Amino acid sequence: MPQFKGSELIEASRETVWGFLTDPNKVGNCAPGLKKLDVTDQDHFSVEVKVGLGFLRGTVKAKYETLEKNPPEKLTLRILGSGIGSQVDIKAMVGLKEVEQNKTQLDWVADVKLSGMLAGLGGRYINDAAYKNVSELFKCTREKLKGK
Amino acid sequence: MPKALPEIVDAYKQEGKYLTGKWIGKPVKTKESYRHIRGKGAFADDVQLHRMVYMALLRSPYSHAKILNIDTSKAKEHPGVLLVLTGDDIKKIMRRPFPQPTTPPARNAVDYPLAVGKARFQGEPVAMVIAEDRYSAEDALDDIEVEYDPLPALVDGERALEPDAPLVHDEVGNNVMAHVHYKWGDVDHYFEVADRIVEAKFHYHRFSSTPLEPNVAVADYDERLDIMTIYCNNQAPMEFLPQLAAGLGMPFPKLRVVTRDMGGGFGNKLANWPYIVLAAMASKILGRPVKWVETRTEHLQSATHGAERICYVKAAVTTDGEVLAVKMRCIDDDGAYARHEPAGITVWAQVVPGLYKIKALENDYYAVFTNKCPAAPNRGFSRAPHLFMIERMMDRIARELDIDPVELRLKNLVPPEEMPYETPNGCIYDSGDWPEGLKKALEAANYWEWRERQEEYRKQGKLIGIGVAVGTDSAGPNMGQVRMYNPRLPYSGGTEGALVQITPDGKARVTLGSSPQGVSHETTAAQVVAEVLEMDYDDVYVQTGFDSFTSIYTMHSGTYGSRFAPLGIPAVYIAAARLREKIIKIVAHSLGCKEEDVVLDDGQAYCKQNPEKKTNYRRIARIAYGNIPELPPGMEPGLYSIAIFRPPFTHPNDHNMANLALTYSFNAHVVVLEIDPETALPNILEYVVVDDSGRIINPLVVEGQVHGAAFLGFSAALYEEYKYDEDGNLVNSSFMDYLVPYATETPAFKVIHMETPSPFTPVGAKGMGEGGGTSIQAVINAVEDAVAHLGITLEKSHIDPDTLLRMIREARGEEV
Amino acid sequence: MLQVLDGLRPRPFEYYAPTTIEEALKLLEEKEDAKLLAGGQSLLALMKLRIISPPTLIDLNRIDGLRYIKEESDGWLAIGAMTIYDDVEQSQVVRRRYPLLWEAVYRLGDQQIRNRGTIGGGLVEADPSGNLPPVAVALRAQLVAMNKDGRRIIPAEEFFVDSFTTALEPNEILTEVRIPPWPERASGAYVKLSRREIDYPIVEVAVQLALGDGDDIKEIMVVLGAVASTPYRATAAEGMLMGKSFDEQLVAKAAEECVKDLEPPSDVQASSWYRKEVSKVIVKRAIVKAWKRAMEVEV
Repeated sequence: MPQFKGSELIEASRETVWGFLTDPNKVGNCAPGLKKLDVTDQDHFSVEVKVGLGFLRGTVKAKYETLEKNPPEKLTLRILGSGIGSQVDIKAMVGLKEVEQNKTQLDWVADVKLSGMLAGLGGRYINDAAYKNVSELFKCTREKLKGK
Repeated sequence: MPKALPEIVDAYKQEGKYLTGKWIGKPVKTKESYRHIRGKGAFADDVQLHRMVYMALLRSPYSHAKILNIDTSKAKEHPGVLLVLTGDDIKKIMRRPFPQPTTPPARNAVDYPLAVGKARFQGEPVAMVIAEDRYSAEDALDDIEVEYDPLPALVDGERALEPDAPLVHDEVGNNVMAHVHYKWGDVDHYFEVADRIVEAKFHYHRFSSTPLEPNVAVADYDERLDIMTIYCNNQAPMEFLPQLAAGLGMPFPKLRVVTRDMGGGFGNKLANWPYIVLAAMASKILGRPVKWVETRTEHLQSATHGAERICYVKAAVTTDGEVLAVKMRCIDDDGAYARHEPAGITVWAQVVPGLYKIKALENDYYAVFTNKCPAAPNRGFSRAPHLFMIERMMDRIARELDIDPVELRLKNLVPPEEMPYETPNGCIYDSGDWPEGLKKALEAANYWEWRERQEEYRKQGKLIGIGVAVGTDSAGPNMGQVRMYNPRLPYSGGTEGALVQITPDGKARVTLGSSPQGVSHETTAAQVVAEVLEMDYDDVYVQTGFDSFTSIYTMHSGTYGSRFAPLGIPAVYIAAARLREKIIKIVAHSLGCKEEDVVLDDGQAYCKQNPEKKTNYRRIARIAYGNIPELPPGMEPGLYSIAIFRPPFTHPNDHNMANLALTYSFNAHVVVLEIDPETALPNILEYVVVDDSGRIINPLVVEGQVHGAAFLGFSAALYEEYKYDEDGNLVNSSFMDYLVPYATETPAFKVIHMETPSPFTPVGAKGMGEGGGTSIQAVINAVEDAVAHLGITLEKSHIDPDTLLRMIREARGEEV
Repeated sequence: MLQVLDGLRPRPFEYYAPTTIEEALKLLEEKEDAKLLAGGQSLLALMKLRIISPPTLIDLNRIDGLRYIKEESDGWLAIGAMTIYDDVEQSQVVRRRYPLLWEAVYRLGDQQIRNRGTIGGGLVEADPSGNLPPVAVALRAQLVAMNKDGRRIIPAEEFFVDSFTTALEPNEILTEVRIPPWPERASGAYVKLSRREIDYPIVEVAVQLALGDGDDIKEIMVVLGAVASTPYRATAAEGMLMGKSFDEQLVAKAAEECVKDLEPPSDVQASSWYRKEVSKVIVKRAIVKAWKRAMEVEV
C-alpha cells in the first residue's frame, strides 16, 4: 500500500489543535462515518464507522491509539481497523506548525497496511477510499476548529 | 553420454502383440463429452446426501501472525451452527500433526489443518464452522473474533536463506525445507576446458492452472457400518489415505474414497487433503455428512500454487556452440508448509540435461519455507521450470556466441541414432527424432523467412520477436526420486493398476487406478480394451473416477506426472491381453479347434477352419459365469482380469542416479509475436507446435492436451502471476485480477503430430499433456528476441506490459 | 462487472420487486440504505464478496417501459435506463450515429455481462474505470432522474461526482439517458487499453468531434476514464485541435499536453506511470480514429 499525505490549514492556535487531536472525545467524533464511539482512556478509544466510497461502504470497527506525543508539534496515531473481511493498520504521523497567530498548518503522512479480502482486490477501490477516509479525519478537525 | 546399454533397454522393452489399429489411433468420440456438453457431469459438488451439513473456514488475513486468542462463543450461538472448532481443538482431536516428508530439522515443522499458535500464510484456516446450510456457516464466520499479533512476513525465497530472515517455523530454526547437492559427470573438468563460461540468473514465477472446479470434499460417516466415505476431487487419493487413516484411527477397508468427474486438476488438487481431514473429523463428530466447497478466492489464495524457482546458471561452452556442462544454484520457494513439496527439488532430475547432450551438471539446490501459499505440483511440475532454465540459457548462449538459437539447438540435441539415450544422471530417454521435429516446426512457422524480415521490421520501428523452444514431457515417474532428498521415504517405483471384466452379458467393465480430471481416461482405456478384445468401443464401460472400494490401486495410483499413458494404459492393456488369452482358450475348447486358430472379430469368435460357426462374448460369458462344465477342465470360472504394470525402476543410488521416468515425449514450439512499442502489449502472430507423444491412442484427446499445455504456458508467460506484496498479501486473489486469458487473447495453435512409438510401453504411447512448459520458454524467448537489440534481457518467466514498457524506455535512455 | 467471484454468499437482505416506477420510488423513500438492482453485474458480485451488504434490494427488472432505444423527432436519442448492453450493441441507430457508444458497449465485459448489465446500472455505479461514464460525457448526454415529486435532468458532465458517487439524491432513480443530435459530419471513437479484452480498462478514451466544411474540427470532446476518480475531460487537447485540419503530429502533441496534469492511480494491473504513458498513446489513437471516421476515410 502506498503512503498517503496531505495537509490542512486550520484557523486555530497550535495548542488548540493539539488539544483537539489528543482528546479522544473530540478527535473521536471526527472519525469518518462514525456510528459509535467508546473512549477507553486519554490515549485509547474505539469506534464503529461506516466507511468507503460512494455506494461501496461497509462497517468497520477500529481502535485508535496515540503512540507518540511531542506536544505541541508531533503526534503519531495508530488506527487498527477490522471489518469487510479485512484488517487495516494505519500509522498516521501528524506535524503541527504555527504559520501565524491562530493559524496552524497540519501535515499528515499515513502508512496504510491492508490485509484480508480487500487487500486481494489489487488496489482497485481501496487506495482512493483509504486516502479519502484518512483525509476526512483531518478535514473534519479543520472544520470543527474553524474560528476557535 | 552414450546410447543406453542394451541390457538396460532390454529390461524396459515392452511389446504389444494385439495391436491391429482398429480402435487405437482413431478419433472416436470421447466417452466423457456426451455428459459434459449436456451439463450432466457428476462432480463432487453434485453429491447431495440426506441430513448433509456445510463447512466454512475462517482464514487468516495475515501472512504471518501470532494467534493470541480466538473467541468462538458468539459463533456457536449463531442460528443453524452445529460445531465450531479452532486449531487448538483440532490439535486435541488429531493428537499428532501431519507427518512431515522432510528430514530434520525441517521435519520439526508442525502442520495441522487449522493453524495452531500462528498463521503462516494469508488464507490459512484458523477456525471452522459447521452449520445446517452454507449461508449460516459463512455468516457465523463473522462472529468469530480472532486476536492476532502480526509478525514480519517472509515473501522472498532468496531472503529465506539469510541468517536474519523471519522464521516461518520456529521449531525448525531456519527456513530450509530441503537441501540436495547434485553432481553428475566431471563438471569441473568441462569448466576448465571450456572456451567460454556463460552466466545468467532466471526466475520462474508463481502461478497455477486454476482448475474451473475448485476443491471439494464431502465426508459421510456411516455409524452403522463404521465406514467413512469421502467424495472428493483429489488427484491421487492413495497419497493421502494413510494420513486420513491415521488421523481418524480407521483401517483402509473402512475408508472409502471416491472421485467422480473433475473440472481440472493440473496438480493443484494433489494437496487438498487437509480440508478432507477436517470434513471427515466433523462428520465423525456430528454423525452427519459434511460438505465443503472452496470459493474461487479461497482457491487462488490458499489451495496450492506452483512453486517459484530462482536459479543462477553457468554454462561451459565451446566457441562453436557445444554446451559441455552446466552449474546451477537453485532455490524453490515452496511456501508455508511441506504438503507435497519439497518433491520438486528431485522431480526436475527427470530432465537434467534438457534435450541436449550436456555431459555434466551440478546443482546446489535448496527448497525453502516462506509466508506464502504452500506449493504443490502444477502442470509440468518441477521439470517445466528446469527446462525453462535450460531453454532460456540456450538462447543466452546463442546470443553470446552470435549463433542462431536454432542452430545451437540443432547442434546440441540428442540425435535419433543415440536413442535410447542415457543422461548423466541415469535417466533413459526412450525414443524420438528431435532434430527432425524441430525442423518441422521451423518450416511450418516460416522461421527463416521471419528471421529475414525481422531486420526490416525493426527499421520500421516494429518489435517482432521469434521464440523457439524444445521440450519433453517426462512421464510415468519413478517415485523413488523423492528419496534423493529423504532416503527414508517409503516410496519408490512407479506402478498403476486396472481391472478389466467381461460381464455376464458380454460387455466389458473397466476400473482404473487413476483419478481422471477431464483427461479422457474413460475414452482411451476403452479404445485399448476394444482393440485388444476385438470388441465394440461402445460395449466397453469404464467406471468414472476412482473408488477405493472397487478400483485396483497401488500406493502410486492417481493422475499426475503424465502417468496414465505410460503406466495406466499398460495396466489396461495387460489386463485385457490376459483376458483375451483366457477367452481364446474358452472358444477353442467350445468350438473344438486349436487356440492359435481362434479368430476374435467385433465381439464374435470363430475357428479359422470354420468361419460360419460363430460364438460371441455373450455366450462365452454365460459359460464363464454360469455354465461351468462347458469351461475347459480346471479353468477358474469368471472373466476377471487384474493387472498392475511394473517398469523395472530402481531406487536412486548413492550418486543420485536412476531412471526417473518411463517415457519422454517431444515438443517444439515456435512463436512469432509483436510488441507494441508504445504500450508494450503483446500480439501473437504465429504459433506452431510439433508434438510427438509416441503412438496416439486418440488424436482428439492428444490435440486437446497439446492445446491446453500450449495455452497454459502462453498464459503464464504473459498473463498469470500470483502477486504478493511485501506483507504477504496476495493482491490478485480473484479472477478479476489474476488474469486467465480468454479466447479473445489466445492465438490459434497450429499443431503438427509426429508418432515415434515408445519401446517401453506395450501400446507405444507416451505420457503427454503437461507439455514440459515449452510454451513459456518459447514465448519468453520471443519477447526477449523482440527487444534484445535494445540490450534488454529477461530474467523472469513472466512479463507484463508495464514492466516491459519501462525496460524499453530505460534501454532507449529515456527517463521513467 | 466483477467477474466470476463465485462461491461466497451475501449477507441476509430484504428483496422487493416492484412493477411500477412509482412503487419503486416509494420503497426507495421508505427503506433506509436500500440499493436498486438493475443488471446486478457489479452489485451482486460485491454483495457476494460481502464488501457491501445493503439491507434491502429493490429489483427494477419487473418494471415495464424502462428498456428502449428511441429516436425522437427533435433528433435526440433516448435510451431507457434498463436497456441492456446487448440491445445497445445490436442497435443500428447507435452504431450509425454514435459509434463510440457502440464501441464502448461492444468492449464491455463479455457476452454474459452484456446480456444482463444495463446502461443505467453502468452509469449510476460511477466506477472510475467503467466504460460508459466517459462516453456519456463525450456525447454531452443528459441523464433523467426521477423521484416521487417529478423528474430532473442532469448533464453527464455534472453527474459523476466522485468514485462510485453520482449527483443522484438517495431518493432518485435514473430512468433515461438522452443523447443530443450532433451535426451531420460528426463521429466518435472509444478506445480502451486492457490486458484482456474482458478487463476493466487500464486507460480508456472517448472522443466525439464534428467537422466544419473541410476536415477542420468544429467541435470536440476528449474524455479519459480510469485515470481519475471521475471522467477526465482533456480540455487542453480539445483547445489545441479546435479549428485545425487533420494532422497526426498535432494530435500527438495534443495527446502529450492532455496527460501533463494527470496523476492516475496505481493498482495491480498497472502503475500510475504506465497509465500516464499509455494515456498519451490511447488519446492519440482515439482522436485519429474519430477524426478519420468523421472524414469518412475509416469506419
